[in-house]
Amino acid sequence: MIEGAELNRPKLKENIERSVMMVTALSPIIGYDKASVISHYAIDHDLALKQAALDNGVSEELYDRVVNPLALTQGGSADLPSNGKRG
Amino acid sequence: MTVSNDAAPKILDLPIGLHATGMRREFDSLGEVEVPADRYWGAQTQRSLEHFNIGNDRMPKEVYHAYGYVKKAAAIVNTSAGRMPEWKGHLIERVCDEVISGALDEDFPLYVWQTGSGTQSNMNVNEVISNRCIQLVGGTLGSQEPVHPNDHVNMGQSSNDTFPTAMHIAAYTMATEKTIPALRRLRDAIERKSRKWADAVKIGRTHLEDAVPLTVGQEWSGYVGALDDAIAEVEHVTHGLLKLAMGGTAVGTGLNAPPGFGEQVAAEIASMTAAPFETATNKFTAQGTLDRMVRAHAGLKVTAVTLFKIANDLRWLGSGPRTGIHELILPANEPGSSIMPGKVNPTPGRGDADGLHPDHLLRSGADDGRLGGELRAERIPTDPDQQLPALGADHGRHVRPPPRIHDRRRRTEQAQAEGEH
Repeated sequence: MIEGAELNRPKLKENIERSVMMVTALSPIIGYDKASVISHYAIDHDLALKQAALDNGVSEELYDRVVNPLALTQGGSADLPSNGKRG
Repeated sequence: MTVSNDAAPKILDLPIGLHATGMRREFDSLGEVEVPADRYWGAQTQRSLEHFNIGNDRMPKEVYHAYGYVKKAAAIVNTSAGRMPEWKGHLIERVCDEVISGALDEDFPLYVWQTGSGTQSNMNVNEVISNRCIQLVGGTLGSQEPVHPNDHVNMGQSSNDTFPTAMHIAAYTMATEKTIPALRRLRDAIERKSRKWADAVKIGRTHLEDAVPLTVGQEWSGYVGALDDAIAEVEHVTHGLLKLAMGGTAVGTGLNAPPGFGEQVAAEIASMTAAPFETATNKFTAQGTLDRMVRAHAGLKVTAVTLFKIANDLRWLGSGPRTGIHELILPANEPGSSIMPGKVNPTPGRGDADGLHPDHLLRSGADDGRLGGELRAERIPTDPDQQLPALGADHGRHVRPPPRIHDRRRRTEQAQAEGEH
């Protein structure tokens, strides 16, 4: 089962694109409450997270800088420019 | 028992097997019993077969192979101490080699349901070795002459020290030769995937709900770490199995065993098995408790938890193919349904997780259902005294990752794609 297992990469990508929980990375910058609004807004309106963020006042520059899926796997925090890996 | 000075008989070169039909009369302290004439066992084995004809659980053969080492080591030590003529000791040793090799497996038929101390399995071994020795000197089966099951094969021993000894040898051997290597192979296979998928980003899940991303490599590295811990734990707990009860005889005092018997027998067993067995320092502990087996089991139980977690994760991630998570494509190893055409189930994961521990099965049998449609009715063993060797013998079998199986799903998709050109 292990040796024969393969990844369904299109599915991984689709789930990454549809997930709204990457809003967590914005939280240290815009605050938990505003990030929550974006999250619920995305789900309620069936929007991608990015569109929901832009609709709620997050700049595209900030979003693209902070919400990078691969970078999010490496820990750190966007509000820590000196220590954070993604500052 | 005094050493008889009977002259060494000629040892016949006869293959294993009794070409007789009907029944043969055997006897024990309670009287005569008829046994099948083509079997080596004697009266006590036959009584147990008839009185404890319960279910289908038989004593694992590995226990008898281990018993072959026990009886051989005892024969060597008894002979060198002058308690038995050399020819007799050498004859018993020769037959013990046949027991160890598995060539006499069919003559060890008993159920696990016995006295609780393995007396009937010990006597089964004594009777079979006795009769096989008698056959090899041209004697009369069932006569208990010139090799007696108790006086010679069981010399200086009791079921109460030999059975725990055989259990420890069997369980240690299975753990070190099968379980641990299989766990290492599984760990290494998972680590290769972890490295291969180091850059594959996926959405994490907590409480089965969407969470923040991680890589598949990170996720699978968690399984590698868990298996590293499990392997270390199994190695640690099986170490206790190296202490052997032999020499304690009936209650731990060593009555009827000469001084140093336990030490010498353990040394012979260590030499034969190339494993560092040694005599237990306290025989009252070694045969008055089964705690070392229980501890060994506890290590396997934790390992079962690890395997179950991994298997369940993979089944979830592979669920689908159309309505599940299906981030993982699992190999198809067998058709999954008698009525639903084309259905394939992730059955290797069940085997991985099921092999290890009854306690775990007891728990998981109760709570394993996830989305319905799979209940588990495996029989839960209830008597640890009897089941421990069975588990020591069995646990390694299921953890091996199955060989690469052609993924029929992908093959079908590939064929369809090619057909479109």
